[in-house]
Amino acid sequence: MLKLFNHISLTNSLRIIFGIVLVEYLMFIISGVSFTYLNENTFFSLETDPATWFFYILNLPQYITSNQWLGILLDILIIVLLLMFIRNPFSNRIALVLFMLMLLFYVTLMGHLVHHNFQFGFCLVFIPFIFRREINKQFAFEAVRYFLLFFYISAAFWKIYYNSLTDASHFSHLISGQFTPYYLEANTGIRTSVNLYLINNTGISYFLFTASVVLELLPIAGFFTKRFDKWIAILILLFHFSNWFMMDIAPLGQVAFVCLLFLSRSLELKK
Amino acid sequence: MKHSFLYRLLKHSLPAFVFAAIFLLFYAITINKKMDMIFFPYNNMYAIDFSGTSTSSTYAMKINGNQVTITHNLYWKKDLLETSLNGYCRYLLHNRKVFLDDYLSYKFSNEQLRNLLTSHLTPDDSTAVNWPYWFAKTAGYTLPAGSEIEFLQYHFNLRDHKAVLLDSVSIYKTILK
Repeated sequence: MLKLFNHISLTNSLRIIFGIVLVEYLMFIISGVSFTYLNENTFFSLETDPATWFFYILNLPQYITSNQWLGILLDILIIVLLLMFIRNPFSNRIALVLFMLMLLFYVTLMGHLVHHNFQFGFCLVFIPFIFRREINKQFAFEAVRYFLLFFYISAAFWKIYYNSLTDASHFSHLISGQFTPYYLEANTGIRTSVNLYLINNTGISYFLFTASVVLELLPIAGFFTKRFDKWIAILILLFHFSNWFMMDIAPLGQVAFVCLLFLSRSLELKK
Repeated sequence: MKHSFLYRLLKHSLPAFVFAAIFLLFYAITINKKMDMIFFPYNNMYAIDFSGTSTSSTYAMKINGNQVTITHNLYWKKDLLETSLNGYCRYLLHNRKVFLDDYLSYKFSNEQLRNLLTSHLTPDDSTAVNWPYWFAKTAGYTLPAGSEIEFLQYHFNLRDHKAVLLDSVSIYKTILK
């Protein structure tokens, strides 16, 4: 991945990034949770988030989920626009429309998921590209990059702030709820075996939890230099895929966003 | 100083700098108010151990006594079915109220504003009652008229390298018309 991004042009690198976004959206469709499939889903629950409230006050998610033709139309529109954007990743108008559509989808899906999912990356990845002028694009990229770094550092900060590291059984207790439906349905395998092992071996789970906090703290280096951005991206992706294995939290909406770090040098602001 | 992002942003565009400053200020306020914000990763997931034990609980729906299974689905669908089912069961247990019903009545004393927000930001009881149809259809089941549906809560103990079912509680049971 590292060498690949080093040896291809910025345009092609961006095509790969937005190709990943296309795969991420296709995963929503293939899984059966895109706009089309939310039709007639009449139950939602929101959190204390005025930004989300704004969409629901305008009745947008409610209107979309009660009109299947609109859901199908939006899914088709997103796929077509993504294909057009992959062809021309510098079209700021397409980026702006895609950002708004993805944001609308994120808000709609999170309302029905009944909890705030952290995978906001498939919306944020468009922000630097909604600007037309090159210099504005670079400033927006810098801002989004800082946001990405802060996203992970803040997660480590809160764990330290709430004294999670002083409790050796913290992680063992946390993961006890991650696979419960699998046990209920007797759908067990290697991941549920590892889950039971970690619940019952607090020493190892404490080590893994501490390692994850250290890993979330590593992006702090990105505030001082871009030299390690590619390694930060690789470590974050590794962290996310370990989370899927041990906690059943897949990072399917976050991959393209993290991969932006591979382009830090190409998109950086010239001093 | 001259190389810092905010300084360069100020030199490049005053409106962009003001926007960034307001963004940071707003972020600080919302963190202080413990609000989850869409643009702001108030990312305290797994920072607090709420249970403090190795037990866990989950919910399930049964149609005519047969459990609706969800874990064989692809990730997003499995996640949506699992978390929305948990949310719906908590809603049933809480007299058909969601989190924002309580939050809005606690935070907003102006009755007109509170009613407006509640009507848009919480599910309508008369339509939410149809949610089991969507759940069954999405999970790949049909719900013909006259079907009996039941929502249950299960408790597990995961100590000693085994997942042992401790008990199950029926939350809600009805026959569909």
